[in-house]
Amino acid sequence: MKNRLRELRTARNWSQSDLADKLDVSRQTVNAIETEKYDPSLPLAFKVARLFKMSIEEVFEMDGK
Amino acid sequence: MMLYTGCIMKPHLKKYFVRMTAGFIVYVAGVCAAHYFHTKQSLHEYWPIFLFPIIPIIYIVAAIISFVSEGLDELQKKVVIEAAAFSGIATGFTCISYLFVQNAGAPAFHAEWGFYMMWIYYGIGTFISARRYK
Repeated sequence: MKNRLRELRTARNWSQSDLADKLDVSRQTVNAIETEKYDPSLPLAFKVARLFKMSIEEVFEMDGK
Repeated sequence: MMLYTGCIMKPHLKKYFVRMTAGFIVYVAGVCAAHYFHTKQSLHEYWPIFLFPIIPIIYIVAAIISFVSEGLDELQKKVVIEAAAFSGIATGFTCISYLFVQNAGAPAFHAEWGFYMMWIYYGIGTFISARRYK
């Protein structure tokens, strides 16, 4: 699954640790999502989308869509 | 498992630390009591006391499970579960395979080997699983 997490985070000048604190996850989890090695659960995806005031589809995109 | 983030202990970690400490103190007391009763032949009729250390072990297991389910985020849980699955399967197959080697003349298998093996495989599993998401 592709995502715009890094782009959205850097646009706000947040570090991975800042974002991790806001999402209540570890920095490693943020990094794994950004590098697309880990697909977040639906609740976490909603949390991310709400944090950036976007819909899930604007942040995450299925491969081949 | 990580214990500290900076100097401030997260609430889940604090709860885990307190429960584990209490569990281990009672476990050590239980083992000492069981050892005392075991060495006194006249007290052998009180054999149920030998089972006493099982109670804190159950408590410690519950504390670990509670920490994994409440104190870790979803990726950390995934790593722990993958490592535990690898450890369980690898330990099981190693133990059963060793029985064949034992039949061929290798030294007798000791139950404690299974315990050490399980933790070694858990460490290997954690390393492999964590690397996949780096």
